[in-house]
This record gives sequence, structure tokens and C-alpha cells, in this order.
Amino acid sequence: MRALAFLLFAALLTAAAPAGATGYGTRAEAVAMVKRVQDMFKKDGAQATFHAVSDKSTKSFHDRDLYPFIYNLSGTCVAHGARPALIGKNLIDLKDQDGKYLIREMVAIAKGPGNGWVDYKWPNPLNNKIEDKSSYIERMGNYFVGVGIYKQ
Amino acid sequence: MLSARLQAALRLFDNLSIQIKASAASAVLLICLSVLCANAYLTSSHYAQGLRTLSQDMVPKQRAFSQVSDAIVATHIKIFRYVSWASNSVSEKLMKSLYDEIDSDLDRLTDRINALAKRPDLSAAERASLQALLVKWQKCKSHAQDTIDVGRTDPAMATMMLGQADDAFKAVDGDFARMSQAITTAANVVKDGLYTDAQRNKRLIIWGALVGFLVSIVVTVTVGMSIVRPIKSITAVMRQLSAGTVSVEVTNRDRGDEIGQMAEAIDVFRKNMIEMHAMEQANHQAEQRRASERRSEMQDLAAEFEKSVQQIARELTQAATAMHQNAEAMSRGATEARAKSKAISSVVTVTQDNVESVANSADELAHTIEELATQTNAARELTDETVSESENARAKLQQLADAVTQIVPITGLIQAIAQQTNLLALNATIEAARAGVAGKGFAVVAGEVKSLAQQTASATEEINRKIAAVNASCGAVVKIIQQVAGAVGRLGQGTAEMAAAVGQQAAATQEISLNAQQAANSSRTVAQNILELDEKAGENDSASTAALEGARHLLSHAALLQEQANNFLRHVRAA
Repeated sequence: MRALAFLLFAALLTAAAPAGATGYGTRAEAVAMVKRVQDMFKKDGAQATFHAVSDKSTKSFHDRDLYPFIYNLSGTCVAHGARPALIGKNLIDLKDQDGKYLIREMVAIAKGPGNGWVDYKWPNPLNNKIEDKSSYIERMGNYFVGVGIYKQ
Repeated sequence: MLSARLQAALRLFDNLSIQIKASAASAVLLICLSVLCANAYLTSSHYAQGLRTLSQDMVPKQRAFSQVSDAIVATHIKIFRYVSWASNSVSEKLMKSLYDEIDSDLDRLTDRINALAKRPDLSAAERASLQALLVKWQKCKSHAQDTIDVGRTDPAMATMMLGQADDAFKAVDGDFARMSQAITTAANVVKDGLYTDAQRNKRLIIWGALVGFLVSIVVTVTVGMSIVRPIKSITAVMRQLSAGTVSVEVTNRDRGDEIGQMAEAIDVFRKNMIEMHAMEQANHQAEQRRASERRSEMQDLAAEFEKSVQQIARELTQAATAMHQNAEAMSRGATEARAKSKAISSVVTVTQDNVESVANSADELAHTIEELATQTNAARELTDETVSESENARAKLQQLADAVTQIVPITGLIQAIAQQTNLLALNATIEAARAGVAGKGFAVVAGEVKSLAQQTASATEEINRKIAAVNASCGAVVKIIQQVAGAVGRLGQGTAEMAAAVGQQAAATQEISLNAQQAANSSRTVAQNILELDEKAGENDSASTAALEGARHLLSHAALLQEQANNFLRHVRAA
């Protein structure tokens, strides 16, 4: 009951937010979620974090269209908040519809500045439509973690 | 410079033996043919090798490559299909079977690429390429596997992942395409090589045949000229030699071949001819000299002979002329004697002719008279005979008249019978008329009988008339005969008288004839003597004529002798 109340609250909050539309998180929220994952990684270790990220019932990591994803530095997906099928797959060669090697860019950010934004196209988990996405990436040990927002 | 070198080469060629020259064209053709054959043999083995490379190495390899490549493309398409099916919620069962199919395809493709990499006919580059491709394939395979794995639960993500799978597949396909291209290029190189070889071979054959043909023609013509021209000139030389022209120069003697030898032999022959000619001329002159000597000898002989013959002929002519003159004198004498005796002879002959004509006339007269006597006697005998014969005729006629007179009573009897028969016929007619119809035929017969009786009566009357005529004639004839017999009797009497007169005349004539004959005999003796004289003179004349003739003959013979001698001498001098 509380959860439902929370959800309603969150929905209302979102409606009141400048982003406007329901189901779409903001950049700040995405960065905040990355921070949460980092916190958990530091506190609970990699495996627990991966598990939690991949588990859709973990609310702090699954908020509307926001979810985290973790890859190692060679591009293999180790945890995914929306598409568990990708876990264990190496996606270093993955390209979006525009032909952008998005994983390679992320790896480059992780290996380089340590954090940054990457724009690409990705299927929205809420409707499975390919949409423009902008993800915030941060290095996390030998991995990197990212959370993206879908642009309407 | 060039022409001098060519001439030197031609001279060298001229010096070759004819056998070598004759086989030169064949040799050239043979060489060309051998070169073409060798080329054909070598290139055909080259072709065979190229074709073997193409058919045994390149084509199967290419096929293997393209088969694997096709299988990879097919698998790629299946992955697309799988993602498409996943996106369109195709049933789990179909999805499962396609998934398994792709899964096994991927494994099998790995095996096939490995097998391809282990082919023994690969080049080092191909082997390296395949090793690189195997790495790419592993990646491709993992992408493909990932894509379908994701596709089972997350079609949207799988759609996303198709891009990287595509890339991986493209990389592999590209590698295959490159390798195929390399093989194709290699095959093309071989093919082009074969084509180029074939073209070159074709040109070589054409040019070889052409060059061989032209060279053999040139060689044939050259050989022909090198043999025919000198043979022609030698033939001309031989013809001149055979015509007797020995001054001709024998060409081509400096040649090293058989023609040169022939020319040399002909020159020897020519020199021999010249020598022979000189010898003949010497002989001829000697002969002429001898002949002229002989001729002068003959001339001398002929002159001598002529002299002696002319001497003889002259003497002969003189003798003949003398003889001729004597004979002429003799002939003249004889002619005169003959003329005189001929004059006497003609007088005697006239006399004799007269005497003889008298004798002859007397003789003829005697003969005529004798004949007349004979005929007169014959006429008398004939008259006597005629008288007796006419007497006989008269007696016979008398007998005839008697016999005819005896016929008269017989005709009277026949006349009586005829009258009676007539009477009988009349009776029969009457009887027949009485008998009527039955006696009609008898009446006809009685008529006939009556007519016969009348005819008989008229015939007998005719006979009587004739007998009377005969009797009258006989009487006339008897009378005439009697007159003739009387005339003949008188003639016989005259004849007898005439015969007696003829007998007297004959005796006289005989006497004349005898005298005439005596005269004729004496004149004949004179004539005989004269004839003998004449004959003698004739003999004399013919002898002198013969002598004259002989002299004339002698003269003509002497002339003939002279002429013959002249002819002979002319011949001798002309010889």
C-alpha cells in the first residue's frame, strides 16, 4: 500500500517536474541513479550490485524509463536493468540505427575522462520502440555504469 | 654492297649440287613444318596444363569457397528471419526449430571453414586469409549466437544487435569475396595466358605458314633459275655445236655443280670437234691434191689417145672414101648395063607378048570349039532323050484317058441307086404322113435320106462333067506333046549337022595353036636370056650398092668412132 502511495507520489512529482511527460526521467535523475549504483558497488561489492541492478524489483534502480547498465571495459555486459538477455554478451561491436558504436564510446569515456554523456538510439523498455537516448556514464572499478534518459 | 653480297650468296648457291638445290624448297618447308609442329606440341601441352589447373585446381576451389560463402549468407538470412519472427511473436515451436537450425548451421559452418582452411590446394596467401577469416568467423558466430539468444526473449534488442551481426557477416563475406576474387583473378590470369598463347600460336602458325610458303617459292624460283637458265644456255651451245658452229663459247664452266661439270665436258667435246675439223680439212686438201695430179695424168693420156685415134680415123676415112668412089663407079657401070638390057628385054617382051597372045587366042579358040562340040553332042543326046520321054508321056496320057473313060459306067450305077433311094424316101415320107403323129420322126429321117439321094445324084453328075473335062484336056496335052516331040526331032537333026562342022573347025584351030606355041617358045628363050643378063647386071648393081653401103657404113663408123673418142676424152678431161 505504501509502495502504491509512493508510486502515485512519484507520478505526481514527475508530472510537476519541468520534464513534463510521464515515464521519462531527467538527466539529474539519471546521474543520481548512477551515483546510487556507485554507492552500492562500493558498499556491497560487484556481485550484489550486478544482481540488484539486473533485478527489476529493485526500485532504487528501476524508475520509469530509467535503469542502470554495467559493462566491463571490454564491452561485455555484466548487469542490465532492462534487458537481462544481454547479460554475458559482448557488445563492443554494437551499433545503433545511425551506425554509432555506442559501447565503444562508453568504454572510451570510462577509460578516458571517467564520466560523460553518450547520445545514441536504444529501445525504450516501456514501449520497445527505438528512441533517442542520452546516457550518463561513469567508471566503476574495472567496469562502467550508465543510466540514460529517452528523449521525446 | 648489298647486291654484291647477294650475288656472292647466289654464286655460292650455284655451286651447290643439283640434288641439294632440288631438296632446298622441301627442306625449307620441312623446317617450317617442324617448327610449327614443335610449337603446336609445346603449346598444346601448355594448354593442357592450363586447362588442368583451371578445371582441377581453380574451379573446385572456387566452388568450395562459394559453397561455404553461400551457406554463410543463408545462415545470415536465417538470423534475420529469426529476429523478424521474434519481433512478430511467431509461435515458440517454430522459433525453437529455427533457433536450433541456426545453431547447428553455425557449428557446421565452423567445421566447413576449418575444412576449407585445411584444403591441400590452397596457396600460402589463401591459407593466411582463411586463418584470419576463421578469427572473424568466430566473432561473427558469437554475434550471431548472441543475437538469436537475445532474440528469444528480447526481439527489440535483437533487432538492435543485428547491426553488429551484419558487420561481422559482412567482414566474413568480404573476405570470401576477396578470396574468390583472388581465385577468379588467378583463373583469369591462366585463362588470359591461354588466350594470349592461343592468339600468339595462331599468329605464329599463320606467319610460319606464310613465311614457309614464300621462302619455299623464292627458293624454288631461285633453284629453277639456277638450274634452268644455265641448262638453257648450255642447250643453246649444244645446238650450235650440233649445227657445226665450233667457235661458240661454253659458259657456266666455272660453276661448282653438275652443270659446271656438264659445261666442262661439252667444252672438251667442242675442242675435240675443232681438232677433228682440222684433221678433216687436211685430209680433204691431200685428197684434192691427189685428184688434180690424177686428172693431169688423165689429160696427158687422153691427149695421146686422141692423137692416135684421130690418126686411125683419118686413115679409115681415107680408105672408106676411096672405096666409096670405086663402088660408085662400079654402080654407075652396072646401072648403064641394066638400062641397055632393060631396053632389049622390053622389045623381046613385046614380041613374046604378041606371040603368046596369038597362042593363047588359038588355045582359047580350040578350047571353045571343043566345048562347043561337047555341048552339041550333049544337046543331041538331050533331044533324043526328050523325044523318047515325050513318047512315054503320050502313052501314059492315053492310059489316063482310058482309065477315066472306064469310070463313066460306075457313075451311071451310082446315079441309078440315087434315083431309087429318092423314090424310097418319097414312099417313106408318104407312109410316115399316114402314120400321123407316130410317124413324124420317121418322116424327118425320110426327108434326110431324100436330100442325100439328091446330093448323090448331083455329085455323080459333077463327076461325069469332070471326066469329060479330063478327057478333053488329055487329048489337048497329047496333041501338044506330039508337036514338041516333032520340034525336038528336028532340033536333033540340026545339032548333028553343027557337031560335024565344029569337028572340022577344031582341027584347024589346033594347028594354029601349035604354030603359035612354037613361036612363043622361041621368044621365051630370048626373053629368058635377056632376063638372065639383067639379073647379072642387077647382081652387079646390088653388089656395088652393097659396097657403096659398106663404104658409107665405114664412114659413119669412122665418124662415130671419132665422136665416141671425143666423148670419152671429154669425160676424162672433165673428171
